[in-house]
Amino acid sequence: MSAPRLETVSCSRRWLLISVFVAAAGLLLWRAYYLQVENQDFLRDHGNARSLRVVSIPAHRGMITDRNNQPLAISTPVASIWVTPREVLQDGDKLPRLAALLHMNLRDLKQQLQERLGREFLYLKRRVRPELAMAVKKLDMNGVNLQREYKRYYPAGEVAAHLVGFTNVDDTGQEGVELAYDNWLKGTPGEKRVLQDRYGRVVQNVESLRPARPGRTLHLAIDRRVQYLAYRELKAAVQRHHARGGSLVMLNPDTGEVMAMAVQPGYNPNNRSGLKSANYRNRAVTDVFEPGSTMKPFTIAAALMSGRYSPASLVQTAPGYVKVLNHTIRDESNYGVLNLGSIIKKSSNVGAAKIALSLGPRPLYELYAALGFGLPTGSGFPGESAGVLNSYHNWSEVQLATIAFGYGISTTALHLAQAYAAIADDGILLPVSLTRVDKPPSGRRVMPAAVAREVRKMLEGVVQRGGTGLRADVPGYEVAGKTGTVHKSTAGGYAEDRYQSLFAGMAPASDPKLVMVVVIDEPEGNDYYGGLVAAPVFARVMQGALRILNIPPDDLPAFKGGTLMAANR
Amino acid sequence: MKVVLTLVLAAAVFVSAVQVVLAQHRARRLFAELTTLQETRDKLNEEWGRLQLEQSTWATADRIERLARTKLHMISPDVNSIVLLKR
Repeated sequence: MSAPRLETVSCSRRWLLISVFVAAAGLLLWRAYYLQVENQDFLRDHGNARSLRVVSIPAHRGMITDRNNQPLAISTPVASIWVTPREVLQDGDKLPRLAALLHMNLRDLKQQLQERLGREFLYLKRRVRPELAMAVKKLDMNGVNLQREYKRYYPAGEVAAHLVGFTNVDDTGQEGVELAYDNWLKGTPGEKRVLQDRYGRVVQNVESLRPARPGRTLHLAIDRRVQYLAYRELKAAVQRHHARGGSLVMLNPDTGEVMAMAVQPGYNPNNRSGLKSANYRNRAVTDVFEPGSTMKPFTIAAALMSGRYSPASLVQTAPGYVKVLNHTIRDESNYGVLNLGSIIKKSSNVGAAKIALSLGPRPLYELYAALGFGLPTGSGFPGESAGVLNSYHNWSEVQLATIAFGYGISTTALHLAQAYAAIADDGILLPVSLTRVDKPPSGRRVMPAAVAREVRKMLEGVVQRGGTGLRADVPGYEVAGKTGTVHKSTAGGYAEDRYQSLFAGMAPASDPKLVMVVVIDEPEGNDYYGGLVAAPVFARVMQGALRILNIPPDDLPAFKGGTLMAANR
Repeated sequence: MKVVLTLVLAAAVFVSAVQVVLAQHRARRLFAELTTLQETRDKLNEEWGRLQLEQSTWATADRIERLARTKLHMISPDVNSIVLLKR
């Protein structure tokens, strides 16, 4: 009988088998427990780390526009091509086509990739056109990826370059308004979690961690059309006189807005390769100069404010020079006895010096300081210079006499324009604004309205027959302004043959809507007087700007065609 | 009594679990939709930027002046040929 024997054997065997199975099952259960419960966090994290990625969502930079919403700087999306060198080299047969698309030498490309074999990330080319990016994508090479970025374009190009500035390759402001308002303009990139496959392709968007916040639009105060005009005329003048440079600032005296700001030499912000960085400098804001005769209106204003002078007061300027200590102050010729208006009209240094000496330093200093000379204008432009105005306690007789006609004090074109805007706005000094102003600030009174009007009337004489600034005349409008021809100061004193030609003025003089300062640096040749070099630029830009901005004429007798009374509308 | 409570709670847990799944699914679907809409928005923004750029290139003061003077033979009138209308 074999069955019973078998049964006895199978009995112990069964137990053995069962216990083996139980042990195996227990082992499995324990392992499952170990993985699922004990080690769950660790394993889940690692799983996610291999498939879930946080990627950033690029945010574009805000637009910069002029006062009429015309774009001056726009960010447009472009693609940057990045590669994983190891993977690209494995896909070698497509390499020649990639090199051809990117206009790169195949050998250079290969060498570049070989050198950086260990790297996971390498930019091949940044900011390519969308069409090129699509062509690269169509190659479908391993390890070649596209990343979306934004490139800044400046539609106005050179015309507004110094004011707008530019950004670097990482979209951060480097110069000008781009730098000054970087925080306002820059976008905050968002973040999202995505599920990726083994090749790094996004399979699924899982969740949004932080939405991208694009930069805000910035409205500048300039008008693109006026700016173009200013740029064109300044450039033409700088070329005609072979000058080293020039700057032009136009302000709206009612709001303090910068309507135009042109600087020469210029540069093209869209293509900056091979350019000297000196050209990036916004001379209108960063370069100081001695304002020379353009300061005389403020000396006259101080005289009127003192109450000791009236517009009819007479000053003896004969014989055309005056000795102060051992320093001689000269006029162009002997003008004899002049009233205050004629001192400005003829630009008499002797007259201005004599007035200053009779007033003493304090009234002069107080007006200059109230106008903010020696301090930045607060425009917020990066690198703005403050200029120099020493305290009157340290002025000597000679300094007092020379400061009356603008030597021994320095300022920027922007600041001089701001000071003239105070004369234009009946004695109210407004802060300068690079951005569009919707509600004008209240400003600060620096001289009585009556004094500002008197000075303005005297400045009109400069642009009339017998004045130094005849060339600044704009047909149909009354223009008030002042010429300036300044010897440049050098290390050893004042240079005999290097000048700055200035014109500062406003129109229409009856109720000024625009104030402009033109500075031409070192014009060559025999024409170097402000009235011959800077005044024509003023006239041409002002004429165009008055037309563009629809400012009605105030010099009615100039219209030979006559004026007609329109029917009541 | 206890048994009934347990059963009710078990059922509630089950229903809640299903709801979680459904909600998760809906969230995924909406997120996917949001992403496509954002892509559309970005595309439209891109095109808008491109068009603006194009417009401002065509409308540079320089080009307008050149065309006005050469093609349309326009001139700016001198002060003698202007008649001023006064209100």
